[in-house]
Amino acid sequence: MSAVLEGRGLSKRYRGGDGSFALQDVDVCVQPGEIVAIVGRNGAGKSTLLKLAGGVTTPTTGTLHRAQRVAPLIEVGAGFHPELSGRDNVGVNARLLGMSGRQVKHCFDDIVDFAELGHVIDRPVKEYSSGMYMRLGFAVAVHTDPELLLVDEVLAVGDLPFQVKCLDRIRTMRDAGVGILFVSHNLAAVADIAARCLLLEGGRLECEGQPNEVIASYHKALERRVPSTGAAVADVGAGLSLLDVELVSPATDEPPVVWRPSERAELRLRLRADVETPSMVFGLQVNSESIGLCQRWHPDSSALPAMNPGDVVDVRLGLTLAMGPGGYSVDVAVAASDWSRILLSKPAAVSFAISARSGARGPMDLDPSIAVTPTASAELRS
Amino acid sequence: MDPVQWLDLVRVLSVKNFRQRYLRSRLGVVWALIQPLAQAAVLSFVFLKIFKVHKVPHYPLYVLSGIMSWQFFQQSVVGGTSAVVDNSGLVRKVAVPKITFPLSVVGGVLLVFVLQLVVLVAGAGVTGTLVTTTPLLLALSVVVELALAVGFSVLLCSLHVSFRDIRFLVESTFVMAFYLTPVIYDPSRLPPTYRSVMRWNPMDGVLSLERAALLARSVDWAAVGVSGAAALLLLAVGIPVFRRRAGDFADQV
Repeated sequence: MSAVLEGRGLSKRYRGGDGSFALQDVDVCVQPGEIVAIVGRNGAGKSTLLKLAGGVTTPTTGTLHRAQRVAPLIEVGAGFHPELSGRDNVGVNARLLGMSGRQVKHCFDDIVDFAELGHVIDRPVKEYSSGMYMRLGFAVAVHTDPELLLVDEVLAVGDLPFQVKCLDRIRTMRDAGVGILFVSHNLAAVADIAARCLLLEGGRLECEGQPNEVIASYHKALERRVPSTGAAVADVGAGLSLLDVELVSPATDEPPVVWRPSERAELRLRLRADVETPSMVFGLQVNSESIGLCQRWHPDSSALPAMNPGDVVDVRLGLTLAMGPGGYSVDVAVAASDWSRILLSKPAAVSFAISARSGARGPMDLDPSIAVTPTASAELRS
Repeated sequence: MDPVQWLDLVRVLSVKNFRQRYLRSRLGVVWALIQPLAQAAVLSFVFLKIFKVHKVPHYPLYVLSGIMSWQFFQQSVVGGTSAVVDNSGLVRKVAVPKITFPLSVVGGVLLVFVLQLVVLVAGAGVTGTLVTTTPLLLALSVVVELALAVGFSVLLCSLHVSFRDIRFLVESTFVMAFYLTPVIYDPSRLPPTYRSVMRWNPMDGVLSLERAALLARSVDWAAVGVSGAAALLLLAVGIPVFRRRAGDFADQV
């Protein structure tokens, strides 16, 4: 059998853009019955590659062969018409994906069963939650009998049982010979399900291979962005300079390449006053590359003292990295205590990556533990 | 996607557009009848009772048919122009021919128009107010108008993706064009110079055909010729232009 997707030397430059390539000289190949994952930061070219695979846009250069029946997941809110019922939307979306009226009728019940939306299928979909949209979109896509399925962030919404169901379905389809191209920020899921993984960086194919190896390089790539010297990050701005910033493990005084989930970390900063400053409050914000804001925080009690020009102060913040796998960045800021002005603002002062916890999935890490104690039934009875 | 399947998709999307329009209102599709009727009633009152112009025979029916045709044309072209941009989510995601989107907008409005015509002919037939019905001429007027609507929609839609001003240009042009088209007045009463200029308005021939079919007026075949030629020209230019530009739509919306 021949590949369901085969692209050679794919480049894409958007017309009217800044002239840069969204994708540059990328090779991609998906065989029937193969799951290929694409990882990379936002703007790395993942969506462009999916668009090319879906045939909605053409490569600027390069050759692309795709199977006849390609099913994209219709985005939440994109292909659904809020006023129409779930039933009508299934009909419209299934036909947009190339199903005939008879096919829609034939597998309508299966679609609704799979989406678990039988009780609301005649309600307008504007009453649905985003998880319900996603379920319906996924259910339609997997029932169109595709040769190539394009899965874009399917695991971002929907509750855990449905995510498990989706992944099961993806495996079943793979076993039935469907090729699957899979984009996700959920690195644990990627490692779990994909046979091969492509890492895109700035539109280029950074590396390709076993998911675990590629994810490790992804983490290393994130790590390279961590600034370590004061000169590189010095932000001479509205009154304070950030001389040095690093996120280290308190145990080793070193930044690890990849953090373990729920590992204890210490953010160390050195600030210098360039002007006479009032007393100040320090704030930080931790952002996830996949889900955005994780936590924004400023201490109500502990203020930075008023400083004279040239004064230097060291700040240490203890953090528990109770987040799921992925890439993160930390914004730091300092404001006058009365919030009258911002003295320092440094977005993405530090970047770091967290590895996956085996057997776990999701945006947080609860540092779980389990104790199982066999108890004799006789004891319970007495 | 094979042609039969594609036509089926256009049909399904047209019906969806039609239904979506009236779905949430209490009176639903009855609005498709109330709107032109109310407008025709007001205009008839103004011209017959206030201005006391009694020169156009069967003026209420005359103006009602004109308004129905005009609304079909206007709503098709205005909606068709922004169809690709309005469906950006699908355009970026689903590999269907992009021309499906303007066509299904026109299709949805066409369903409204056909419904209006059926009710008009049936209602006027029952009450005995209808002067005549010449099905062939009526069908011809709908076909020519549909071709014009598709031609304009497709051409303007392909331009609108990169020049978003087109939409406003189209909307304001329609406001003016309403008065330059014999919707609420009778062109045969104009001075000959104006009359011959007005024949170059592609909607003039369409309205002439429609009124000939419903009101036993004579067909202005010169105007019909202009309408037909304009429709063919627009389709011959619009469809290739649309297809050539369609490859970039997913990047531009």
